Amino acid sequence: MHVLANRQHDMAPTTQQRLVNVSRRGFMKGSAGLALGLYLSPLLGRGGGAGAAEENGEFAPNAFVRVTPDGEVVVIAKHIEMGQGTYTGLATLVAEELDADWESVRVEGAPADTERYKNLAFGIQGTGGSTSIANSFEQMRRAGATARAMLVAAAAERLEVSPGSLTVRESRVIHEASGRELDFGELADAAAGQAMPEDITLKAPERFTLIGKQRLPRQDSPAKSDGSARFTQDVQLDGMLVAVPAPPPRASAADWSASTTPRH
Amino acid sequence: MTTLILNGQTHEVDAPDDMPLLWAIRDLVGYTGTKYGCGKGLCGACTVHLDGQPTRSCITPIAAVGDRRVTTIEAIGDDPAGASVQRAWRALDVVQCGYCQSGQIMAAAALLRDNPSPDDAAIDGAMRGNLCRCATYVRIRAAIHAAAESLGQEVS
Repeated sequence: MHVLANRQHDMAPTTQQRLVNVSRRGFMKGSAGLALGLYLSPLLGRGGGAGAAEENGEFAPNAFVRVTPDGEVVVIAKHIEMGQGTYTGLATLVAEELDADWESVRVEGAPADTERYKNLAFGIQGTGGSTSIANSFEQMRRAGATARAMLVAAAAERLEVSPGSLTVRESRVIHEASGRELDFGELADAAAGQAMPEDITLKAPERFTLIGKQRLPRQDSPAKSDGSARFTQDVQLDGMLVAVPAPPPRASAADWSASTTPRH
Repeated sequence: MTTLILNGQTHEVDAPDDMPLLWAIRDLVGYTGTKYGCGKGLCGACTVHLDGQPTRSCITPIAAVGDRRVTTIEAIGDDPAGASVQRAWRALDVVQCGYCQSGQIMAAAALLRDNPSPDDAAIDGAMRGNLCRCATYVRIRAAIHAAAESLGQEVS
């Protein structure tokens, strides 16, 4: 699956990406919490994860980060995890800027959708050429920082204090002066109603607590240790047929005939 | 119909006698944690237990299973040795791509059941048939030592 490793890596400037609060835009009727995604409205509501998400009252995964009412931080990974650790890396970028409690961070693979989840280095949805973290570095951090700002704004409203008087630590928004605090889960619903912040300031690298600082446990370890991780071979679809190449008995053999009738 | 005792449950599967056990497990019953690697019993990715013995399911005809109990990665956590191996695997982040790891864990669990405190040579001997192209062998060995240690503490 190392696709397009030889394609020119013209990194798109991620600063031009515009984040919107998709939960605020009314796409997630009846859901609670905060979801952020790139602004790509023509694609919203189109099949795949979005529909499924609405049915169970969760957020549409047109997003890189989702905060659920029970405080779970779900990072949507646009790159495939094939052992290189990209699920953990992408989650680290979001958790860093969000100041999320790592224990509450979970990763979901993004559905197929080029517009929302393209590799900014390739222009298509693809993983390879050691581009995953490089092309996502600012994009994922902005997703986390934006979510953080909206959670802080929601906490400021609820505590009737200024956003600047609040700090965030391990998924808790804290008002040090009064000793009061609210956790992300308590704020998720209210954060979804906040305006998108105009300017997002990303952390200066010297303030990083996760990126390059800690050896975080791999996000993919549990599923790969109990057989539940799904590999391509494990995908089962209704009516799916399995094709097996029949190699010729010797080199340079030519096709003679082929049958398209399924054999079991 | 062939009767398969798989992970503590009885399954009636419609399979010819020469169908590899692996196919029955994955395609007929639907447990996909056990992987198809080489299909020739060379790589260990398809390792399951037959009455506790590590067995290459890709070259085991279903007719040869008989009434032996089949255990796969999905149920090895019910076994104390298997559970401690899985805990160690998570604690040490053994996995990389993960494709061979179900087989690795099944082999390691069988080893610890036979030998609760294996040394490096015993580990290498028991695990030599399980290949890992990510080359996680060093962590596999460390995790088996860790699992043996935690298992020993549970017992004592």
